[in-house]
Parts: sequence; C-alpha cells; structure tokens
Amino acid sequence: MGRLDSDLEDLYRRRQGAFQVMLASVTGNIESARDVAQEAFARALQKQDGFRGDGGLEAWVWRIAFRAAIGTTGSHELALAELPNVAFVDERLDLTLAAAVRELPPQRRMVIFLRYFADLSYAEIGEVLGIAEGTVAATLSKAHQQLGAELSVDEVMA
Amino acid sequence: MSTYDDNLLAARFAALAPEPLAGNWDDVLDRAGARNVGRPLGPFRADQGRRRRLFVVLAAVALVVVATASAFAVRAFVIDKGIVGLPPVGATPSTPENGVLEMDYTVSGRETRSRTWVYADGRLIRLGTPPRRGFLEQRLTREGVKLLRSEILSAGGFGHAQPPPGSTLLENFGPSYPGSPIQVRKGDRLVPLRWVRDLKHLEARLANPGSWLPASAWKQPKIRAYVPSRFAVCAGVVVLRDLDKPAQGRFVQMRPARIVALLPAAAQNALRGRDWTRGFPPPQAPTSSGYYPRYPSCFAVTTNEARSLAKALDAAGPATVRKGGRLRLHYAFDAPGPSRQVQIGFDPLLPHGELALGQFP
Repeated sequence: MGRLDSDLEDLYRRRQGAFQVMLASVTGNIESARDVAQEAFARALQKQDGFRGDGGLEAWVWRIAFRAAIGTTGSHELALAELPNVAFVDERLDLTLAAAVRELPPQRRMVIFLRYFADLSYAEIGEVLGIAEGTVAATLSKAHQQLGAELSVDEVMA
Repeated sequence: MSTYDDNLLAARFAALAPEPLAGNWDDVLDRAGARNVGRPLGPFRADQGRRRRLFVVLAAVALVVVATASAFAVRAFVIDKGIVGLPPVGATPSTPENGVLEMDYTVSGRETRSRTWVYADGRLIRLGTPPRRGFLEQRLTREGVKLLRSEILSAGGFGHAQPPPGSTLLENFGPSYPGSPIQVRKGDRLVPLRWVRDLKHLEARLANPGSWLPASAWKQPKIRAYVPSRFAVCAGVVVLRDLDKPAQGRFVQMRPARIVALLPAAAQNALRGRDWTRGFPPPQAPTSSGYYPRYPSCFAVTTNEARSLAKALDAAGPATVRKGGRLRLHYAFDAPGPSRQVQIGFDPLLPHGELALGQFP
C-alpha cells in the first residue's frame, strides 16, 4: 500500500501491546483498547502519506491512536485539553497508586501514563502531545512530587 | 515532601498494567483494506478471544459520617468531599453489626466505578469513586434482594465451562488470578459469575438499580453515609531503606507483642492485651509490590473504641499522623533501631467481616 508498510508492521509487532495498555487508560478496558489500537494502525496504513517524517513514526501513530480513542479525526495538533480524563488503573492490584493517580491533574496523569504504561521517552511524549521535551520533564517532575507525597506512607502501609 | 522514585513507580505501573490481548496484523490490514473500498469497519474478530475485565473499585475512600448532622450536611459531606479516618462523634454505626453477604459486585465505566456489597438483611453498601465517593448505604426489602440476585443469576453462567460465542468471560486479573468481579450467594458460599451474555446491560443495571427496581424493592432508597460499626486496627514494623524515601520500606515479620514494645509507653498501654489475630478474610489479589500477608497483625474494635484508641495514640508521642488522607487513619511512630517505624492503621470492617479497603489481611 505504501512506503511505510513494513515500518508500520514492525512497529505494530513490537509495540501493539503497549498501545493497548496505554489506550485502556482512555477507553476503560483492554478489549476496546485493542479495538482502537487495531483501528489506529489501520488508519496509519491508509494515511501514511500524511506522515511528514519530521518526527518519529511511533509518535505519529500514537497521535492517530488517541484521536481514534476519543473519536476525533483531522490533522490538527492533539491538544491536551482534548484528551479525556483518563483514570483507568486496576485498583484492586494497587489501591494506593490508583487513588494517587486519580488525584493528578489530567495533563500530569496523561504524561505519567505515557511514561509508564506506554514506556515512551520524554522526547516521544513531547512529540505525541505536541509539547516541548522540557515541558514533559517539568510535568513529570511535578507528578513525581505529587505522587511521592501521596505514596510515601502507603507504599509500606497500605 | 519526597519525590517518588522513578524506577519504583515504573515497577508499580508495570504491575498495574492490564494484560494486552493478542495482536493480529492481518486484522489491521483487513481494516485498512475495508476502508479503501468503503466497507464499514467491523469489530475485531471474535476468534481472538474476547476477554473482558471489569475493573474494580476501591478508590480512595472515606469512612463516613454524621448521624447527627442534617441530611443536607451529610449528603454534601459524603458526596462532595469524601472522608477518611474515623466517623465523627455522634455518627451512628450501621446495624446490625454483622450481615450475611448475598452479592458482591464491581462495576467500572469511564465515568464512575463502584464496588457494592448486598446483604441478606437488605443493606446495599457501595464504595464508589467521585462524585459519589466513599461508603454509602441504601436498604432493600427482601423482595429487592431477590430481584437483584435474579438479575445476576439470569445474566450469564457459572462454573468453568466454555462460554457461548458472543458472551463475555469475566476475569478480574487475567488467567493468573482467576476470579470474577461479580459474585452471588448460592447456598452456603459465594459463587463467581463467569460469563455474561450482555455485560453492558448488566453493568448498567447493577450500577443504577434504582432505575429499574420497583418501589416495593426499597426499604430505604435514599442514599446515606455508611458508618462502619467496627474497625480493624493493624500494626507492622517497617524498615526504611532511606529516611528521605519512606515509600521504599519493607515490613519486618514480628510478633504483635514485640511490635507494641517498640512504641512509646502511652501507645503500648493503649495496645497491650488486644486480641491480635490473622483471622480477617484475605484480599483477593496480590499487591503490586508483593504478596499478602505483609501486614499481618490486626485486631477488631468497635467504632467508639477506635475513636478512643486514636485519641490515646494522638497523645502517645511524636508520630506522623495521617488524618484526612484518602485511605485510612494512619500513624507512623519512630522505633528504636536503624530507620525503623511502627505503623498503625485503622481499616473499616464490613458487616461480613471483610476489610473494606482490602489491602492487608
């Protein structure tokens, strides 16, 4: 279909699990997250001419995936404000962390999820969200501080 | 204020991550090709195995409040703020103290999550996320309990037989930790619902039983604060690897008498002679950082006794006291020895004896 077919397939085979896990935080469950991930890669295959190559291929697919997850289309930058108030974590596995994560402001929560669920670098997170790498670092730092205050006791107590 | 360690946080998130489903590149190609010819996209293929996880509640929490306050005040307090710690003086505990659990279910959606316990005496106790955060209570009639039970029984199947095509297999934590977010009493035990024909329909019904149960099903339809009548007081000794990183401690296995002996004298007096036990029902899943039990020494007290005990601990000496946090009233006393703390928590006990916050046995 296009020049990026093999790259997209390679990305899919390496990372589709990470896409599902991260997207579950948006959709609310892993089943629908898988559906969205499948849809995102399908759209990427279809629209690969829209990949300008000025950023990473994975970040580009992530942006498509988020748009698919929230039901929007278009080529405009994905604004943090557009992202849903993601809050999914399996509470029964770690009540304390789940509670602490829910207390984070949406932007910090999204960056935290991209960092730890999607395992993206600061630069990649910046590409996905359309913000500077320094902003990512600052946001993560604030999130760490907030989580540290919330978790410092319960890690051993809860 | 400490900054949470990056590696530790990564490990905790890794443990929280749901297990991804199998990928299928052919399906991606099909979808892309289907779009090119204008054919609408269908759901991904059922032969990949549909697995649904209901994700569980236990959010933040609050114990709850106020029998003497006005109904408006109670509602505002519970719904808008939630609370943690002990109910205020004057709050009347829910009665009877004990109850037979008939159903236990968790419903999770994008907006709200809740875990609900329904008792044979009609109590419907719900622990939810905002906006209805904390423990809440309604009361069903005997007929209401039967109707709710019938709703679950007729929604799917039990046992481990292969679910029919198109149904949803209920698993809490994946194959490694079998369980179901929906349990219902059959005879003398709770039986997990294993598969459901229409999960969204069932979730909607369970999340909002007031929308379909008849008026005759309710003895007390109004939502009120649930005030536990008992608490478990649990204690453990923690060794902190780094005093600046109190999140990275580990529990030390120690008999209760030795734990108590590490406390200030006044705290020892308050805790001495208690009926320490491990008899509380265990939680249903491993934690992110290990397996239970990691906090094994607890005893039960009434809510009034819990208040008195908390007062005694308040006066016992310097401690890091966490009141008004999200989970529970919590004390951390410095103990003799390098980087050691004695930690004491108060956890509400549900009418069937389960620790409501479910984080330690």
